[in-house]
Amino acid sequence: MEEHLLVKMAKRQDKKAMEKLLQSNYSILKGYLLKMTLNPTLADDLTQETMLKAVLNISKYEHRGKFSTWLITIGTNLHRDQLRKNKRLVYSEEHMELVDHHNIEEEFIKKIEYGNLMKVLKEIPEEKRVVLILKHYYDYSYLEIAEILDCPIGTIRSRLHYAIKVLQKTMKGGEDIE
Amino acid sequence: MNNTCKEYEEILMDIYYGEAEMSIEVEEHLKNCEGCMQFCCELQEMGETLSQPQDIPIDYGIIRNVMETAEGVEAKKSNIRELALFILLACGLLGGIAGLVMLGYAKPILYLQGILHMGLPLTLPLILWRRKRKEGYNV
Ligand SMILES: [Zn+2]
Repeated sequence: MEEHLLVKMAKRQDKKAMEKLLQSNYSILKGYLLKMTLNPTLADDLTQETMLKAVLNISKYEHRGKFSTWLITIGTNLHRDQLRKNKRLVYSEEHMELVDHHNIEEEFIKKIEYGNLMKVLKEIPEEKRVVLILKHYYDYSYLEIAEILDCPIGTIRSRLHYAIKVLQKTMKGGEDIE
Repeated sequence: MNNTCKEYEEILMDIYYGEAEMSIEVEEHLKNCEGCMQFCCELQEMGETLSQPQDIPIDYGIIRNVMETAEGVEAKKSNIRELALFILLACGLLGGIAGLVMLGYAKPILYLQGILHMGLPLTLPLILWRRKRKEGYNV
């Protein structure tokens, strides 16, 4: 069934339609959050939280763009909130949390088959990484990314360029970015 | 690398991601500039590294869990809404009665209550009789 029909039905409180929508967008959302967080446990939690928020707020969803774009926007905001919260936690608990988080990240990178890819992504600062992920994997336009991240298009463009430069530097083995 | 090449690199990144189109000018530059040509190859290489396959199976358990949690939250919300409505109605009713009492209708209200409390049970035999007639069985 087409997505817009499922959305319409879900808005009319059709649980089956909502479940179908979540199923068909699960991999996109989880893949995005996995690359963003580089932490499978955190990605799982955020995926669940994002989907719950989507179910509870489906009546507010406007049919602009794909449903996955809406999910990714919610996921991005939740991830941002979590980072902010974690920063506060780290500050108050004398960096204990940061150390733990870092260890989980390292463990994950060692474990997975596409570890090389994750290692490369990890080198890019978070706000630039998100732009690269949305552009490269989801093929969003600068305009769409600007809407998702609530940033000017110029910022999106320069962040993508920066991310590409970091990637190339990492792949070459660490020359300076010009 | 000179400044012109830096600008071309920016354009090349936009072209790679479909945000700009390849122009004759860029093509000409690429033909004559080894550095920018190299940059193009590196872009391609980077794209291939990023595009390693990643298979993410759907976790139906998580989705079911989400739906159940959402149902719980909705039920809680609806309970709160009903409670708020009840409080509002009760306050309105009490306020109305209090208003009537203030206007000097306390006595009639008391009489009305008395009649209702005493009178309604007296109509019970009538209700039972009507029901018996309608449904045709012994009560
Ligand atoms: Zn050049």
